[in-house]
Amino acid sequence: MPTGSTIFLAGLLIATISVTASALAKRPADAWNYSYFDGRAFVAGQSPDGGPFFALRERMRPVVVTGTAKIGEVALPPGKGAIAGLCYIEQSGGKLANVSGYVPVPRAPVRIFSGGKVFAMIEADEHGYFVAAVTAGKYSVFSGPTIVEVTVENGTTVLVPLWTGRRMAD
Amino acid sequence: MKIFIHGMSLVATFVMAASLPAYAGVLDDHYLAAFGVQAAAQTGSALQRAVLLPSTETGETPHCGTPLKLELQRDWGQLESSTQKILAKQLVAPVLSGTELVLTSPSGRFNIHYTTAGGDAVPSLAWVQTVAQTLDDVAASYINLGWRLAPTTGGASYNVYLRDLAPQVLYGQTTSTQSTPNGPNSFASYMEIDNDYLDAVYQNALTGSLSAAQKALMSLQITVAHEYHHSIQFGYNVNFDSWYAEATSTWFEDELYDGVNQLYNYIPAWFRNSGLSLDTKPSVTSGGGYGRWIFNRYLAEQHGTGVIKAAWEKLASLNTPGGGAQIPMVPVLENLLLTAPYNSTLGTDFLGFAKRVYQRDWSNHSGDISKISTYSPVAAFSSYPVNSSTATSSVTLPHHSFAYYKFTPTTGAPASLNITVTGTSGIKATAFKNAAGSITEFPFGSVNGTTVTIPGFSASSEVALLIVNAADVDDHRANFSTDGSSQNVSEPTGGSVYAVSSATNSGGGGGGCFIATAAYGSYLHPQVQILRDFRDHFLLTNAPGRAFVAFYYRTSPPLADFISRHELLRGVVRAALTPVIASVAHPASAVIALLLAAMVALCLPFRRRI
Repeated sequence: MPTGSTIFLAGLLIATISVTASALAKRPADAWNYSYFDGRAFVAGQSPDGGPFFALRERMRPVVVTGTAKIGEVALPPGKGAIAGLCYIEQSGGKLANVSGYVPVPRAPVRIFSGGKVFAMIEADEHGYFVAAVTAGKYSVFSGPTIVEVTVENGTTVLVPLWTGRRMAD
Repeated sequence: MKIFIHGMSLVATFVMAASLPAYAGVLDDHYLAAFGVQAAAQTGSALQRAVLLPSTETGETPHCGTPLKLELQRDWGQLESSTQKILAKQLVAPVLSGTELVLTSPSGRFNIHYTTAGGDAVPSLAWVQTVAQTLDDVAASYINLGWRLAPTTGGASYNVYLRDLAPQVLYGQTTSTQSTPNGPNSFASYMEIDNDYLDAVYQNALTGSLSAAQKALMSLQITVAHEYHHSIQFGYNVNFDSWYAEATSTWFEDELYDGVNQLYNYIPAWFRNSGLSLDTKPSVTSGGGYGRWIFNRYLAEQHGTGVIKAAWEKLASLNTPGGGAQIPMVPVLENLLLTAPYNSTLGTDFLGFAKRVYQRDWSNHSGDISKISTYSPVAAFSSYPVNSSTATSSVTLPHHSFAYYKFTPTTGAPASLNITVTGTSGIKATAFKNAAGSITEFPFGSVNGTTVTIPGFSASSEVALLIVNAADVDDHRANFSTDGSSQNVSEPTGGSVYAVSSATNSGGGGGGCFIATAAYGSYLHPQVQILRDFRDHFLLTNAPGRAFVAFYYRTSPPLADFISRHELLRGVVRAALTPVIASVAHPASAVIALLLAAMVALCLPFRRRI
């Protein structure tokens, strides 16, 4: 028969495991997640070539990380989410050396439409990245020839790669 | 009271009519002044500027020092066409290392931007003039061949920038800019080419006893022929398939400048990697893209040079799956070759091409056939029999790829060589006997354990077996032997590699409202967006709507092209579309207005009778 102290220790262990599991389950929502553009889409993680990437966190405005500086926290206003992304030109070819890849488009104009009307006109930063805080809902995001339909939920960020053109190298 | 209302309406109409041109003029003047095209004339009220030059999104961090060029891009659609023509080059202007100078080509088609200072400096004005003349010559050649020249914004001269591209190891590059009303996916572009082609990276790429100046000129010629065709391609459909764009541009290097012949350097890589698909992405290492130009030569020899242009014209009418996805060219070629006057299939032509690689019976550019590299066998056999115990006697091929096998007669080789081939449904096979340069073909009618006997093998130079996957399905398999044995093969499990992308090319989902785009001047115009939303959310949800959209996409591009080139007509169409757009945007109001109109129409005759 287990003694009282054994039952107490077992209970303590179960409680500790439960609390830890609960804390771990909550972690993704409370910690920064990272996402980088791999040439076709945003994928999880930091850019392997040291380039800019997004730091994402629920209920926080997404941050374009370009260096080692601490990521600043700016809360999204209540009822808002975010549309963030990268404007880029696809590059292919190279007769003398392969230069295929993508080229960011600094300061590219981005238009966000809602219900057929212009909701916001913003521009990408010097690295081609853009961020817009928007009220939860459906939007069309335009840049160059690309239209992407997105649904933004309260407190979350939708990442949008915007293909704005092509460059044929050689 | 009635007179008062009538009077007020007239005053209001007059005020609006007087105000609108003033607003339009302010924006044009603002940009013309800002870019130094005319003296600064800061006119218009603060209210006017606030309306016409909206700030960035409320609540976003403002970007200080926003480049003027981007503001121009944003407001482009609101400018007069004459202003657009003047400012077109400002939208996309690479920055040169020194003061930018401009030389217009003799035809007026090209503006060559150059500098005499810094790394981008040109060697002489004479060189810039040579560049200008070369551009004119190339454009004239493409016109003679029936191609539509590269579209430009507002019909301005095409911009070419002379830059030092040697550090980037590039001959030249062509970049799309913005959509044009010429087609659903037609884009304008600009071109950058090296400033002198005197660097070692270019000089070493051309062999022979030529002077540096001769090599520079040759490099210029093939680069202009190549890059300007990319500009044309952007005008046909910006979503072209990269491999075919490079194959076409490279093919034209030799069609326009037959004496340079640098393009033959790209063929061996393909033949060494013949087990890669026809549409392998561009790479001079694998032979993808650039090396495929020789397939265009085959198509041109079989069907006439017009077949290449026909392929691009077919592509021009197709919509992208979206998001910059390229439209696969293999199904485009397949669909084209099935029709008259070609009456062929891509599989048939690809098999024919693969045969010509060995037979070398090219009919065009006959003086240069020796420059085409010989076939590159996957494996060579000199001991017999060859059967399943021989490691390289079976092959799995991706779509539109091929493999050659070489059999050489050695002591003890059979007098006649029996080759048995077993393959899946996409496999085609043939054998060639080469006797002192005389080539005889021994085709396999089928590949179901079929045996072909090649007499006189021991007296021949060699026998080559060609196995081709002529289908658009990956992983077709074959095995062969020289002792009559065969192994079972299983059909590939996958279907056409283009099944999904072909299905998404049927219009809608990001395609253009051509007439509205032509009338409003931009695909992104909010009014065009309203019509596009109506198409996507209403018309495409039902069969009659889809039929209407399909009919519209078939018939409207030529009409849109005509409208886009006539300013007065654009205004008329905008006016005609206004009630349509208003009805689409505000259906309830439109119904009420219609009901009121119907009531008035019914009441008026009644009142007259009273």
